[in-house]
Amino acid sequence: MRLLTYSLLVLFSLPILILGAYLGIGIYEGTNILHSFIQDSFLVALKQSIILSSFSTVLALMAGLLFAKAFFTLKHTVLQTLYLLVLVVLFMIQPIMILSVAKQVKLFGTLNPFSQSITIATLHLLPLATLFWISIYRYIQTEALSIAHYLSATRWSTYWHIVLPQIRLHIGLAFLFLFVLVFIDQEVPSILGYRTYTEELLSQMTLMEEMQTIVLSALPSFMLVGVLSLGIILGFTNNALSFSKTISPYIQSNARFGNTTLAVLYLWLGAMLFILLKTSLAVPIQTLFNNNIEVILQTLSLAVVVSLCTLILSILVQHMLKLYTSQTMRVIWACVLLCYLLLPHSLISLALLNIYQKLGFFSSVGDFFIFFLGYVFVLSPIAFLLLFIFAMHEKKDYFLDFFPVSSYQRWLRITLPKQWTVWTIIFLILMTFTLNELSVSILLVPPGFETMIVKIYNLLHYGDKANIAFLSLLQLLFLIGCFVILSFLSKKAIR
Amino acid sequence: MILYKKLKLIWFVLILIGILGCSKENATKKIIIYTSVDQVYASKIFKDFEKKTGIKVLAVYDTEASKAVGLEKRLLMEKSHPRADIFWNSEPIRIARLAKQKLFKPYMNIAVQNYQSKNDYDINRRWFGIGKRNRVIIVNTQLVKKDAYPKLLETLWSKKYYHKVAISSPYIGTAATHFAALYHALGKKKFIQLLKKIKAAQVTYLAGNSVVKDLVGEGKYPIGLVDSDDALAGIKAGLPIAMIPYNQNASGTFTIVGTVAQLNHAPHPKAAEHFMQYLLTPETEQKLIDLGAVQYSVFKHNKSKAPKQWTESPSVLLSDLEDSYTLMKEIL
Repeated sequence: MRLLTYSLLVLFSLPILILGAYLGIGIYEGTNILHSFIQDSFLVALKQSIILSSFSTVLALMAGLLFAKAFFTLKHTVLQTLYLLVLVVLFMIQPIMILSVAKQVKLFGTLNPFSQSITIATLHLLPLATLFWISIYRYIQTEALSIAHYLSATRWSTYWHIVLPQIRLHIGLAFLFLFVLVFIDQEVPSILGYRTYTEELLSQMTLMEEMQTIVLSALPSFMLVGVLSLGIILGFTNNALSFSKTISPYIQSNARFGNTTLAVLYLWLGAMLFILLKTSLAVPIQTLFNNNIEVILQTLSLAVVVSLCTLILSILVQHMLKLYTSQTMRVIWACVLLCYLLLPHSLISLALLNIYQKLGFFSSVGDFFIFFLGYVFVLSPIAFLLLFIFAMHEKKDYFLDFFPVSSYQRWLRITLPKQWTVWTIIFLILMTFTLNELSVSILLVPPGFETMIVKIYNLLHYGDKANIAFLSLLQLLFLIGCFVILSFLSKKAIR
Repeated sequence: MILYKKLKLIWFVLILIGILGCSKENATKKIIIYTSVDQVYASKIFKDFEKKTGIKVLAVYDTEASKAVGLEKRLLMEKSHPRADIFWNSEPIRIARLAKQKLFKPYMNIAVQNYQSKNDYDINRRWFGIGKRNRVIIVNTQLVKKDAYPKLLETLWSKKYYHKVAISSPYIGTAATHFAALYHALGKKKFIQLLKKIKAAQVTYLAGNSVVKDLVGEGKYPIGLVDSDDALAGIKAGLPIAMIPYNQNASGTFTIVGTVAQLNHAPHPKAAEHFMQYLLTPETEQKLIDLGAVQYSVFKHNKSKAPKQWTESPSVLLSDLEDSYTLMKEIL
């Protein structure tokens, strides 16, 4: 059992270890790598990426503040649930799909590539920024606000002296998280003609001979990850996370604002679906199905298998960690996994490809295995994190200790039925992540296999509007379907 | 408990989908093809091949961002245990480089005298050309008047067009081949001067030829340098662009030949032979021309009206690729 534990832990940390090892060798080999790292083109791309990420993060946080305010003005729980649901669905719509819709309706007009990139990144981040604000507001100590209100403090001084000190850290974390989300995935700005760090990294990957150089050139993201993990560790140790009363009574605004915002969000989602449907129907539906049926089936089967395996692996790791590690070790593991979660997926894929080549077990099974492993490596920290979050709310059944039941019986009769819903929720979330994963698909795809998101990415270059719209529409409908089931299940899970 | 039962049913259905989806068709007759030819064109040729021969094609396509170079790396990685049977490339230099490293098997079942030029095939028969396309200037017709269309490549780097020209990254794809050929034609000194002019003109480098075509079409840049297939795809899609075969009173436009090769120790050698036979015919080449993947023929009896063109032997350009790359990294 102990051996299995360590094997699983090593499997999880493998990409980090490999990247670390390459980094070590890279630094040892020195000058050539440094030369490529400080190239003008690389620095320019890095600067552009930082500007893009910063701008879109700030914009998303500012707009998110308004949208969060709208949420708190909604009076009914049903409306609030609908609001949260549409936010989650909109966040799962990847930038490449927003771009495909924008191209169908020529949304951008004469905007330059920078403005287009910012618009798409901001639209993608906005739902998450709103969710951040909603959760941040919940951490504000309402007692202090009541006292300030009682003492007739101005709104500004209440905000400056009471609200801001409490949520400063959370805003910082939200900023970093959103920033990194834009920073690590910039394929869309490249399509729009805005040169980014990701594009430069991809060019370097294909041109450079040495793996170490590639990895070293990714140093800035490692630094960001370092800063972020430091922030998260600080967040874990901060007591400000313990308040639970809602802030909504202190937000002064009428319900019309909330209702209108909710309507706008659903209209945005509806408009996207309508545009995609209208564009798809320019070609007979039978032709669209014939053109895409293979890629649809391949993508769905991949999503099911990968999500299922990732979930099982993560449950096993969670179980092992519970048995054999201390609380401190668990927090360290959670931090490591969070850092790993934020690594550029193209780097993880490339590291895997390199190992595959070094091991030399080339076969059709090997091709699928490495492809599959790429997805598992990218998804497992997400699964693990979700399990970690759900486990925090789990109540321990102490009474079971009084009954002489085997651990197998306990697992089968108690844990399995109890956790079934939670696992299904995580499974569906993993499905949505699999459907949206681009880097693994591009770099590790086996012969004859294709995913919907890559097909959309490739077709975007050729203006094949109907097929792009059809695939985007299906992808969107899958996501919405997943989240309708999710919202139903999450209610059951809470009960 | 009812929920538990329902969920069990959902899980059962999902697992079934996964298993059914993953149990790949156990086709005994199949072929693995790596191709950097645009997916929209290559997939149609593969379907036609499947229909004619009953051999299932399992393709790996290159993406726009890593045109031609990504697959070259993958083939090199797999050198000792090739996974692919065929490499069908959109340009000639990288296939020549791989041929030099003895990745390909000579293919004898073709009459090389049918080729228009010796530059279009390897004299050791390790690779063969199929279809040609040109490097062309494109202009946005709403931003550039017809009488102001640039006729010479050099004019793109002149003061008149500062900040106005976009090209795809010169380190990848056909742009890299073009620059290697320019290095060969101009010599080191003049090539350095050219790069300095390009730098001074503040030319924009984009992620691929299709991105250049899109942005010129949208009016973000008035002028671009792309491959003729991209230009024609843009015109077909209704973008306001015009295609200009430059240097017609001088050396002509640079032309790029598509190439194909059969891998040594290919896992499905017979199927690979069938594909070579199918692809390397004037009929299949004509299909590629009709699709818009290429514009001109490499075969004598398929001679179509082409503008004045020039090219160099890929084997000759091999060393130029490295040298031009080094200089570009230093200057651009």
